[in-house]
Amino acid sequence: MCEFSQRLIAWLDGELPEGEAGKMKRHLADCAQCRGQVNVYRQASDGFEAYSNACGDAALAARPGRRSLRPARMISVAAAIAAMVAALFLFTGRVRHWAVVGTAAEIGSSTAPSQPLKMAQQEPARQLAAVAVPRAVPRVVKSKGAERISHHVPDRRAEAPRPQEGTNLLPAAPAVEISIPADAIFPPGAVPAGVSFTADVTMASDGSAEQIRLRPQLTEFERKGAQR
Amino acid sequence: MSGDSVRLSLPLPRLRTEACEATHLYRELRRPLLRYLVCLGLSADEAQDVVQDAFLSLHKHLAAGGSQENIRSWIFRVAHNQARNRQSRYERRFAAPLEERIDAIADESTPESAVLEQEKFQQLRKAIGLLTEAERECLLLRAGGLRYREIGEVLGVPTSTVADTVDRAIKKLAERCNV
Repeated sequence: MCEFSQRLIAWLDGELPEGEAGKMKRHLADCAQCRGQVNVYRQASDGFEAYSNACGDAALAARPGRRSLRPARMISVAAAIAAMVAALFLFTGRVRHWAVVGTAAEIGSSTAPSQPLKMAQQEPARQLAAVAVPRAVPRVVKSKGAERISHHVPDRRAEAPRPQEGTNLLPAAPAVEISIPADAIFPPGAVPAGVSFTADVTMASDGSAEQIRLRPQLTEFERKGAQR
Repeated sequence: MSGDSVRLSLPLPRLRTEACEATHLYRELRRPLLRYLVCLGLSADEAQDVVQDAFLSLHKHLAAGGSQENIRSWIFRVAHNQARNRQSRYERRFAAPLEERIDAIADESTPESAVLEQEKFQQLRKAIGLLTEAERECLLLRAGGLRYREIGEVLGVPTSTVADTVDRAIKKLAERCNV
């Protein structure tokens, strides 16, 4: 047994300081015994890795989790997490720190306030969890370098039959709807230039993301046309 | 129209960086985390829950302006501790030695396990059963791609202890599997 034999595994893992690693490499070129040992350790290490990976994957594949999230839905997860944190801010009334979420009061001031909203203003924290906020759509508008957000209620809502006032307290009713602009979800450069959309996240009253929908963002011109 | 607009007080670039960071980490670490947790003895469902909780904690940590250094060991530590909490709450499968759990898993043949030669597989299984819990945890975290320093941060022990433990564990395995 030579002096190097105690550090072979650390060397194999790339955990030796640079100087020592260089010495070890030179030693291994000369010492057949240590070379042999390194191979034995490497096999044991690779074997363990393959074995634990196989066991892990087998256990995971055997019973797919009921609430498992597939990698393809990863972006949705990111959006949902962002939305959840945004919702926390909404409930604690510190919403002005957040770019894309409007408080009930703000939404109400820019649209015709509906009955559920008034209720929400009276008893904000407790009622908000159960009251469905109308589909007010925050929109990031870039003008003169300053990013501003405006809210407006889409026209289809006006045409759609209004739910009866006070009947929105069903547990199934979405608690909050939040819109997140695409460039806050995706890494820079992931969204091609000229393409713009917003993720609408519908939160259930238990805080989970119930529905995530991507919606193309209208240009200023289209928006004015829609309002007219 | 000034009434319906709010000035941004949280700059968007910061939001974007965090979303990007979290997405990248999720892609990189989800699988190793799940494997680690089921190898510790959690069910697939429990492991999924723990991983989702861990990423939610990470998001809160980053959103609160927490340190972005050593994120890998940070999230493994959160997951490891949550797995430990579940252990003290339920004391179920954890009580069974890893060997038995692997028996149960090995019954369901998978392409991955088919790759391993049967005899070697059996030898490894026995050898792993003889490792101490600390040795198993070190090797599992190491198989998950963590450095000695990171393993030490997850388990709350010095890096030198991790080096000794890994060294001892690999030598045990090598001894059992090459006789």
